[in-house]
This record gives sequence, structure tokens and C-alpha cells, in this order.
Amino acid sequence: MSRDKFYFTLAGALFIAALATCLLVRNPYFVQVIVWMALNVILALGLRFMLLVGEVNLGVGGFFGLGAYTAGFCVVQYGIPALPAIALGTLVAGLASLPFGYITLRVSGHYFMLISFALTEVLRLVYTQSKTLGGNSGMVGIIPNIPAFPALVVVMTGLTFLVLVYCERSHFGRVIRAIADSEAMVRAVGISVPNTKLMCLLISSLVAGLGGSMFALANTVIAPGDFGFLLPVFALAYVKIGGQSHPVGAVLGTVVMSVLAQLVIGLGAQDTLLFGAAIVLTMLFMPEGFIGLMDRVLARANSRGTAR
Amino acid sequence: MTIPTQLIINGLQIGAVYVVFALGLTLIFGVMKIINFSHGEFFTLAGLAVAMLVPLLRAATGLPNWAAYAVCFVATLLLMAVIGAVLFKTVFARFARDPVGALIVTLGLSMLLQSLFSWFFGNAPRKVPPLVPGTMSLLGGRVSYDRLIIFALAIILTAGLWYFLQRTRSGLALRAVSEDREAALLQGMDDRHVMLAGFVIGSLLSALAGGLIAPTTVLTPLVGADYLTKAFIIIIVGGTGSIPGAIVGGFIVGMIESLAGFYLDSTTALIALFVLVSAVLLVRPQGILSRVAR
Repeated sequence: MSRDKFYFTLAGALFIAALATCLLVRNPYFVQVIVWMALNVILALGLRFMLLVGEVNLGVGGFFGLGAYTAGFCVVQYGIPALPAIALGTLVAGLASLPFGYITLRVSGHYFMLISFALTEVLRLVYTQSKTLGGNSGMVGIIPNIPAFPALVVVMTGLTFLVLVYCERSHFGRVIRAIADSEAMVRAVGISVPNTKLMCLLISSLVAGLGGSMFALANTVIAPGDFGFLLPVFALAYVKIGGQSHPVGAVLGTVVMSVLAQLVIGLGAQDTLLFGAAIVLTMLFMPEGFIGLMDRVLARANSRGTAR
Repeated sequence: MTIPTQLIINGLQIGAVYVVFALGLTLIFGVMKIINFSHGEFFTLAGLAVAMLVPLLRAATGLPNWAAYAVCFVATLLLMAVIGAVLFKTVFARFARDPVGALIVTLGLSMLLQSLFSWFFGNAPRKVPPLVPGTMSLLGGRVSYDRLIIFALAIILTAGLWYFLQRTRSGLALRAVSEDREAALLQGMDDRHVMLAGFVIGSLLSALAGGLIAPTTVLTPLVGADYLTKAFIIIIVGGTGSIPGAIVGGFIVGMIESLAGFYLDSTTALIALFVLVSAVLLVRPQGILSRVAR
């Protein structure tokens, strides 16, 4: 079986399992865990898209929060139905990323990850200061007006995945990979590096905003503490532990780590300990993540197949 | 006492500690070209260790508070140097000049260390009791002796680091590797040694800042992240890798925090700092004191 076919089959199986759980299982705890995983998959995919161009966008946490607060505000204050509220939340996060990216993406390298880290923290502080947004206690009663909302979240996650894979494999995707390899080369053929990066940030932030909007409606309660810097750091852990070289890696990393985190929390330990140790050990001993391990297994299986 | 003078004194004092902390971050960036997201954890560990050891030592020996503080501080620094060297050998050395890999591994390390601290020290805030109780008046403001001592120590440390980097052979080697690694290698320098030295000194500066701040503020296992966010702002304003930039940036951030924190509130002060950084990036992306053109 080819590498791509294997991974996409795996992702498809996970998608069907998640959708079936949302539609058929009556236990609200399982459904809640599936929704939480799906939203983290979206966040991890958004972060990964910016990693393709070689930038670490810790601002996804901030844009996730921006989407959540926009959607929450629309629903609670104006009684806007769920779907337009999600669309607005997505759009606001995307639009907000443009001036931010215009300022920060002109210099390459470490500046962007530092300032995107600061952005997530500052946005969280802004929410705590704003009375209209509920201050420290946040917003309650963000209730979706449509049935089977968890299933919708899973379907939207699947669609986001497909759109991002399409972008990654289009001409645009080749340009951003080339930027990660050599900015000078891309500039030499007449493509604007800052504009391409800005486009990546826009896509990454729209995805994060979509995740955040659905988070607000799925959770019905949001507070500034939900959108601190740990959110993008966890997403980064999912991408790295899953493996960065294939889009399914982000999905695998999220699913495996979320299940482990549930078990660890069930045992009464801190999930930050698990995530911290998992990130450090992965970076030291398994830098290609699960995808790297599975690539090796697949290569061995295929070579045995051809030998026969 | 006039309020503005008081605020300026406070701003200088907190700024001096930020300078020491940010100098460590910028020094590590200089020699290894990585941002150490676990830099704040060295600060936290030193502060918490000093705060835990001082009462124990006093109970055992009956030393006065300032003497117990001095002994514990030195012991903690020795321990931190060992921890820094071990972490360099096991983790950091592999990620030199790999900014993205280093970012991820140091974020993981930061989470891991924070969890270990809250398991070992508990989540209750800790503080070192005042070293020398009392205050004195200074230019119309009042300042506690402790804050004065801390300010003086921070200035001496900064001057010492300056002397080390500008006037000694080892300092020259550090600057050479920071500015042009290939040229330094061609001169026969061993950049692994220089990176180890730079990393340990940088981590010690973080630990020094943590130990220095312990008598004037409460520390929790998670406090490192707050200081790290400010250190990022400082080194972006001053220019990453720039020593004078970190010094000027540290005082600017200390001042803004003190003034905006009084007239507005501490959260607005941090938001104001973020606006400042955005403005600096717009006008002078390489930082206000960096000579490197980009």
C-alpha cells in the first residue's frame, strides 16, 4: 500500500469512528471528548500550515480565542444563529491576522514566533479587561440553535483537513515549501516572500478562527483562561509528536495525546507533565514523530512485498 | 514624597532585574542562535530554591537573614551551573542553530519543569523575608533597603558581564562566535566550548535575576512565563543578541510597567508594551540598538 493511501485511509477511518460516536453514542462524555479532539485537530492543522512555510505561529491560540469570542458575542448579544456566528468568528480572526502579519512578517526568523506568543497572551489579557466580553469570568449561554452540533464539528474538521491538504498540494503549497527551503531562491524567481507568508497566516488564522467559533458553541461557556499560550503549545506538541511531514501526523498526534491526557488526568496527575516530557523525548529520540516511525514500518513491509 | 519620583525609582529597580534576566536570554541567543523558552524556569528554580533554603538554614544555624540569604544564593547558583551544564549536554547542544527545533524542545522542557516545580515546591507562593528591614528617602521618594541592595547588585552584575565580554579573552571568544561563527571556527576556536560557556552564563543570569527578586516579590512555579514574555519584548525592542539593546530595553520596559501600572493598571501596562513592540517592529525591525541591517 502506498504511503499516502495508507495515511489517508487511517484518517478516513478515524473520521468515520468520530462521526459515528457523535451520532450513535448516548454518553455525553465520549461525545465531548470527540468534539474536543476535533477542535484540537483543527488548531494543530492551522499551526502546521504555517510551519510549512517555516514560521511557528503561536498566535493560533489568539486567533482561536478571537473566533470564540466573536461567535460567542454574536450568539449571546444579538441572538445570531450558530452557522452565521461561526462564519463571522472565522472571518474576524482571519481579518485580524492581516494587519498583525503585515507588521510582523516583514522580518524573518525568530521575531514572528516571539511576537505571536506575545499576541496570544495579550489577547487573553484584553478579554480579562473588557466588561462587554465578561472580564475574567467570560461568557455563558453560547447555545447552538441546530441539532447534532457535535457531528457538525466533526464534519467541519474533515472539510478543513481536505481543504488544507488541497492547498498544501497545489501550486501555492509548492511555493510555501520552497520558501521554507530557501527564501532567497523564491525571491529570485519574482515571488513576494512576505505576501506569500501573509497568505499562509491568513489561512492559518481562518482555520484557527473556525476552530475557536465552534469551540464557543460546543462548550457554551468561554473564559479568557481557555485561550492562554498553553493552547498553541499543546497544538505544537500534537503536530511534532504526530509527525510534521504528512498532514495526517497532526491528526494522529492529537488523537493519541488527547487519549493519553484523559488517562493521565483520570489518574490525578498533571497533563502538562505528560506533554512536556512527551515533547522533549520526541524531539530527542523521535524527531519525525509517529509518521517517521510508521514510514519506516511501511518501507520495510513494502520492500518485503517486492522481494517476494 | 512625590509620586513620579517614586515610580521612577521603582521602574529602575524592576528594570535592573529585567536587564539581568534579558541579558541571559540574549547571550544564549547570541552564541546558539536559539530562543530559550525555558529561560524563565531557571529564574523560577533559583528563586524558589533560595526561598525554600533560607528558612531551613536559619533554623539550623541561627544566621541573620541576610547572611543566610547570601549563603543560600551562592549554593543555589552552583547547583544551577551544574543543572545548566547537564541540560546543555543532554538537550540544548543538539539544537544549536535550529530555531524551530529549539523552540519546540524548550517549550516542552518549560512545561515539564513547571510541572516538576509545582510537584516539588507546591503551588503556594514563596518569598524570602526582608534582608535588611526599613526604608530610606532618596530624591524625595522612599525606597526599601532591600530594593536598593538588589538594584546595586543588578548594576554590578551587568557591569561585570560587560567587563567580561569586552575585556577578557573568553568574552572575546563569546562575541566572536556570536558575530561570525565560521570566522571564529577558522581561527581555531572550539565553538562547542564557547556555546557551553555562553549557555551556562546565560542560565546563571536568569537564576541570578530569580534569586535577586526573591526578597521583594512572591514566586510561584509558573512565574517564569510572565518574566519570559517581558524578556521577549525587551530583546525585540533592543534587538535580539544585542547586549546594549537588552540593557536599554530592560529599563524601558521597567519604566513603562511602573508608570503605566500606576496610572492605568498592570494588565493595561502589558498591553501598552505590546503596542510599543509593534511600533518598534514597524519602524526599526532590527531593534533600536542593533547595528545589523536586515
